[in-house]
Amino acid sequence: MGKAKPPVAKNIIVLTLITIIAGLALALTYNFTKPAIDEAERANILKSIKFVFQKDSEGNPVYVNAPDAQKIEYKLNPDDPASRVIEFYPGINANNEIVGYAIKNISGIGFGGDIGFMIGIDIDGKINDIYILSMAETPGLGTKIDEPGFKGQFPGKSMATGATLEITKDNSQSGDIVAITGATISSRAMTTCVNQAVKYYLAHKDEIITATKEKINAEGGQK
Amino acid sequence: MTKYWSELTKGIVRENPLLVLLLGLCPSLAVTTSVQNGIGMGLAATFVLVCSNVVISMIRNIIPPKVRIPAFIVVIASFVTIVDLVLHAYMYDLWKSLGLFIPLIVVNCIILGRAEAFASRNSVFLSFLDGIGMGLGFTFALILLSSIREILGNGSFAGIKLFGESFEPAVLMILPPGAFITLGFIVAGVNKLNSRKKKEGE
Amino acid sequence: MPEEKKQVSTKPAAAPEKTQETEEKAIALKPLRFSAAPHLRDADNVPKIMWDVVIATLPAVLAGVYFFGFYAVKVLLITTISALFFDWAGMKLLGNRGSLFDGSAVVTGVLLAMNLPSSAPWWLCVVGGAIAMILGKQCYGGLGNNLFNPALVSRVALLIAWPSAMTTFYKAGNIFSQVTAVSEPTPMGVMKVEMMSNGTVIAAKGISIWDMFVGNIGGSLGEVSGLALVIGGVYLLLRKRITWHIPVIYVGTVFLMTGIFYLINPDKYINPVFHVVGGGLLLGAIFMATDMVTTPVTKSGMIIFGIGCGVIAVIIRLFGSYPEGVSFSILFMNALTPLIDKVTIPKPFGAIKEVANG
Repeated sequence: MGKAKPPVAKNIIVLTLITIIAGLALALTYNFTKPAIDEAERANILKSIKFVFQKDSEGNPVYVNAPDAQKIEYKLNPDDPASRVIEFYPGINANNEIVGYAIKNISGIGFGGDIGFMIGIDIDGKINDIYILSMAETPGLGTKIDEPGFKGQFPGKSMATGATLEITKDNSQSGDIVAITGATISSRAMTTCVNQAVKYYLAHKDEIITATKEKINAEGGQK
Repeated sequence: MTKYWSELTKGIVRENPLLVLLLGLCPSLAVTTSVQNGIGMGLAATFVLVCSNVVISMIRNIIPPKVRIPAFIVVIASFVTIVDLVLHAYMYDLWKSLGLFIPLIVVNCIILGRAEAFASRNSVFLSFLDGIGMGLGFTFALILLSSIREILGNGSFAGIKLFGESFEPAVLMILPPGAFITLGFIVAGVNKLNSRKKKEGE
Repeated sequence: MPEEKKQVSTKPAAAPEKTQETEEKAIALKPLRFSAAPHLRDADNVPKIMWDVVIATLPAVLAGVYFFGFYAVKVLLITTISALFFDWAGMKLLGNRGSLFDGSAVVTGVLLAMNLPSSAPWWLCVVGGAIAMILGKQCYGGLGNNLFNPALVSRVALLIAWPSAMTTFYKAGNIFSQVTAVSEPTPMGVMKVEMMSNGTVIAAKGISIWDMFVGNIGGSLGEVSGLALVIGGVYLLLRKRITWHIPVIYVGTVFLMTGIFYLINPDKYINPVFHVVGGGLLLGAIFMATDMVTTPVTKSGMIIFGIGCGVIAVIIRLFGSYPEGVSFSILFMNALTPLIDKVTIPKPFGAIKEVANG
């Protein structure tokens, strides 16, 4: 039993050494990949913004700025500290005019949990296109909200008059958006989320545009 | 020479980690929803397996037996984290679709199993061959499993649509039960093959 | 006695080349064994029981044909033929014993068809028959060995595989006027969508209970008419093919549980009668939860089984994301059946000890 001590010390030393080497290797890799990871995350957001914005005749988006640099965030319910956040990414054209926004909004009433949307609108609140950032809907059923048959109903719709997009079950009833058969809940989640985002924009339009201009000016001043 | 060759090829069919040894079922069942995922997972696991086999074989003589499992895990976990960071940086879409299952390679029984059963007892070069063979066997099994699931469950192979509009894919196949059902049939087939071979051998 | 034991122990490995003589001995020995399998003492009984079940399904099948016309006939025929074919194919492929004409494949086929929407396309019916027979029955070793009810295995597999096709129900018409292919949600579907989106049940309350009882609603072709299902159930009871325990306790548990929720908050939860006649509960309780192979053999086991089914079905209906929980509840309790049997079967003269040691 008296011999037990040296092996224990050896155990500790060897394990510590291995851990230190492993830690060093990981720190190096982390530092090396960090810029690329940030870039990839940013590219993903930019891709979704580009997807939902209006395009010119050559298929290039109409904005020339980096929308994520001028992002504006609001709490949907300012009184609640845990409230969901709605994000506005402005698009600014070559003449320094705001041409529209990409709105990031999350629906909490999906069938399989939260669904993240990027909704592109022009300056008047007309919907241009929608990109689904994340969802866990039932494959083959709820995921159909990302197919042209359903999603294609949104572009061009405008809520400037203060109306809401109504959802219906079949073509015979009146309504703006026809739900997917068997996926009423996913369809409703998407419609409600789009309604909420666009209505929030219309209700706070002046405030959002002022905030955007301030951000642009602040940037211009720095230059 | 035949010894090296046999260490390299045993993992592909004879001792296929997934289809014969039934190791590493968790990631295999979870990520094989598309061929890309299957290949990505297979190669990520192969990389970790080869690296950890080589490193563990190199340090096998200085690791005291009592702390060998923690030591193996530290080595394996480091390589897994490296794979996770690299995929996140350079292969964002694959990283997103494999999600949680990259970190989970740490607890993949194949890797710890090979470290314990092979790399800690054999030379660096043999461990390297063993890692490549087992890794390729694992990748091959994942590709087989994910091909069947993607074709039946999504009507496509590696993202390319195979059938016309009228084909209604069976969503079940890309959901968890589809993984179990497909694996069950594949394992049954492999067992049938192996038992026939044994009979012929006799 | 040692010789007998040998016979018993070789039985599970029964190979097709088994001689007629040993087979007879194995059958003669069966009463000594206690298991979840059907207590068939005599091979002649299988067809008799099975054809009685087919007769009992007739009222509900006819009701389905009345409400959905040609569509129902098509689904019934294709599904049954597919079940027969794949039962035969599975036996050939896997070397299981069994007879194609014992009626069990017909029963599974008809029960599966009753669980399908009348809108089911032909390929769905064919695949359904294949899943029921190959995956639900022959993979386990054929008749009497399956753990789960084959028709339900198939229904649930189809529901998950083709959710859209399996949840598009035609509106009930009647066979004399033309049946149109207009889709209509089931009462349970109406309730679930409302509960999940508004937390209310106003639209579901508007559906007439009488329509639901008679069957004038959207739904699977065999589940719509509660009346016809009850007639079939009474026939089975009179012929002593089933006992009252599982159906009555299953339905009773659902009624009681949903009743309690209804009393707590009638705006959020719908009345218990709706739960009994508005979905697949009666079909499940009378025909699926009474399958001899996959349900407990003792009375107390049946009571546990019925309560378990009821509780699970209500939890799924009220708090799950699927509108209907009957099939899931029965499959779940099927899985527990061997355990229930183990707990509830009385020890027969110390025979268990001997088997365990052998």
